[in-house]
Amino acid sequence: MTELNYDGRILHSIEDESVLDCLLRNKVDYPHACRSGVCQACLIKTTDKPINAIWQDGLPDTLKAQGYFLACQAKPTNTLHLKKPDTAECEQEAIINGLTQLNHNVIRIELLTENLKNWIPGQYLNLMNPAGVSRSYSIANIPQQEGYIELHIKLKEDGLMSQWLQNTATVNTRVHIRGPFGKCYYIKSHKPSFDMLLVGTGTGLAPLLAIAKSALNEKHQGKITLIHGGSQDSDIYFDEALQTLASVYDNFDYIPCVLKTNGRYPEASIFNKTLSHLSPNIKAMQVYVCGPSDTTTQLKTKVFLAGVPSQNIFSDAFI
Amino acid sequence: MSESLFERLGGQNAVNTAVDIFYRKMLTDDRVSHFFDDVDMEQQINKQKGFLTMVFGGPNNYKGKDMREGHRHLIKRGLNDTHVDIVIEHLGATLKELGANDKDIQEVAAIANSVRDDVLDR
Repeated sequence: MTELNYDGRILHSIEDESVLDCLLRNKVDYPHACRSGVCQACLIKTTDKPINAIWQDGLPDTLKAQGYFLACQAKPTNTLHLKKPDTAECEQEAIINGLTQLNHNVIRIELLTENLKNWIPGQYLNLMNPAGVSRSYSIANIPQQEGYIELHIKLKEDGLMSQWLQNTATVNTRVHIRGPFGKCYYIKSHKPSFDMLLVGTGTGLAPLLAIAKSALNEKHQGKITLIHGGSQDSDIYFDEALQTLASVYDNFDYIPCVLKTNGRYPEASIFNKTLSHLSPNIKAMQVYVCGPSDTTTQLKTKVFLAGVPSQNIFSDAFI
Repeated sequence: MSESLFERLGGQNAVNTAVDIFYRKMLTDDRVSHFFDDVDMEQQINKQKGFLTMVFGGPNNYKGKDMREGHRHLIKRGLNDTHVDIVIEHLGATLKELGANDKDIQEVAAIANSVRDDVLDR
């Protein structure tokens, strides 16, 4: 039995219980969502050592160094003194600067904030509204160059954040952001000549757009192919900007596809499109897969079986 | 020979190479691939690296309890001795591709076999 000190209480975790489960079992209303180490909502802090690296997977180095870890991933075997995240250490304020509808179910927001160079294109952040609702979104642009952080928000009828953004938030509304997190970003290389395949559906386009932009910005020499899939024509967005990008850069290709077309975009399964755009040098190529997890799980397995090494497949599934 | 089995096989680099070969074999074998439906590849690769490190005789965090719990839901889906045999078969074929000798392959198979009862929750 391991002792957890939290908020002046001593809790005892039972065998094989995560810190989060122990807190919840003891009626502590601790923030959490995915319970699988992805959403980072259950971020917590300790002054005790050592902290198992697995508990900190995907956290920014600054937070790791300050003793932060994910409560849902931690099954400690030694006593831990736990603290809630210090807002000043892990959050910053941002102001909504732009808010536009991109298609029937996606809105785009621009956030003005400080330290833009820390917000890496393609990684994700947690957006928190004044009511305390928190959701994860991918960074869709190069914040440092463009002067703001761009996010694509999928509208959901029962979505607390997306409904708030659509109905209540306006330009100049203040929010908080935490992050950035995740493994989806362009990795600078000495020999940037490998081919890159970026595949996603829905707002999975957001991180892929950011990765494509940063690769082109870093003068990536290999071919960059971006495949964006949807159920129907109206799910595709940003196509004009991407087509323009494709006409400017010889090594960038943009391929939209939908399951059922009304004639605007080619009808194709994203799985087939993906497999038909693998690099001739499959062992050296990098594949980024983003979007809802049911599609990304299958996509990752298919490209792996086709011959892409597992360490060259990057993904942050949306949950 | 003073080198450990893990070192002879090539250490962590061998695990990293072997995991892709081994997992591809598992996923393309109809006798076992259905156990990996809906499984996230990234997480699975990490687990398999842990498994391969263990059977290669490397430094590992192997816990029988984790093996039991990690496979209990699969036993409900029919996991049995024949599937463990298939794992050991693919393990051997993977090592052969990497150029290991028969004696080392047998040693790996013996370690894998030693966790059979944990995996099958007996």
